[in-house]
Amino acid sequence: MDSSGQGVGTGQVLSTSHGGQRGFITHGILDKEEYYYRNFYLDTVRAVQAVAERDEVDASRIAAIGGSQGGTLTIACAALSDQVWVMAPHVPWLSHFRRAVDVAVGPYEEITEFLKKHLESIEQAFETLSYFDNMNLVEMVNVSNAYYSVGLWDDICPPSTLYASYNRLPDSVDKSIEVYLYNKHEGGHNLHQHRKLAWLRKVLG
Amino acid sequence: MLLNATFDAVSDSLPMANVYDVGFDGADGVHVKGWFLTPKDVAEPRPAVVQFIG
Repeated sequence: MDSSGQGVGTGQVLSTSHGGQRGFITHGILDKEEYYYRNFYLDTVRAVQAVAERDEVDASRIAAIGGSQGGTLTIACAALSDQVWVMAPHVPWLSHFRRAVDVAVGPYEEITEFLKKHLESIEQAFETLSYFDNMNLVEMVNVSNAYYSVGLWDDICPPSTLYASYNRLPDSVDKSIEVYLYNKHEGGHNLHQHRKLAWLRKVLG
Repeated sequence: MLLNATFDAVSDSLPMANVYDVGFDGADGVHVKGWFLTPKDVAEPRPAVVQFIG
């Protein structure tokens, strides 16, 4: 699935009632009904619906996968859709926003930039983000198996934020995590690609 | 068709796969794009992997 307003083929019609932002992560951050990721998360559910309708597809065996923002969307999709059988988020983003804003580099810093300008809206912003935080959404995930990966030197999606999601998966989920000791946001790059495909083959049959 | 989903065959790329240029109605009214690939011959329904972009 293409990414809302970020890719080539998919536009975006978001309007927000506040200004002072660059990138996407702070678009609509002061209102959970306006927030950029609201519709983007919902689109992931629709993508699975569209695929499940196809004659070539066994709708009872659908996997959601993706890395970084794609890992975020993977978890959101598995939380919001009832058609995802297994999920493999690779170095997922947007987890434990409070912690991430304190320690992470990269797009999370757009939130810091926003909060510097909106001094009286800090709590309101984090209130909105709590609705889109994978650490919270993951409790609604209803998959058979989950396969995470983490790079312990990752400063874009820090391990402490990622484990906040992994550790809160429901007990019913058969989960595992691939830990790359000395890697940053690339995680296990080509080796992980190989491992992920092997994992998919095992769980999907 | 659910979500006004369209699957337009693309024949100029992968000889061993069926490739479709996909679109469906997104939650904000925008048409969301994607790709759908299958092996050339699918004798019975197969598992599917939905991939999101980083």
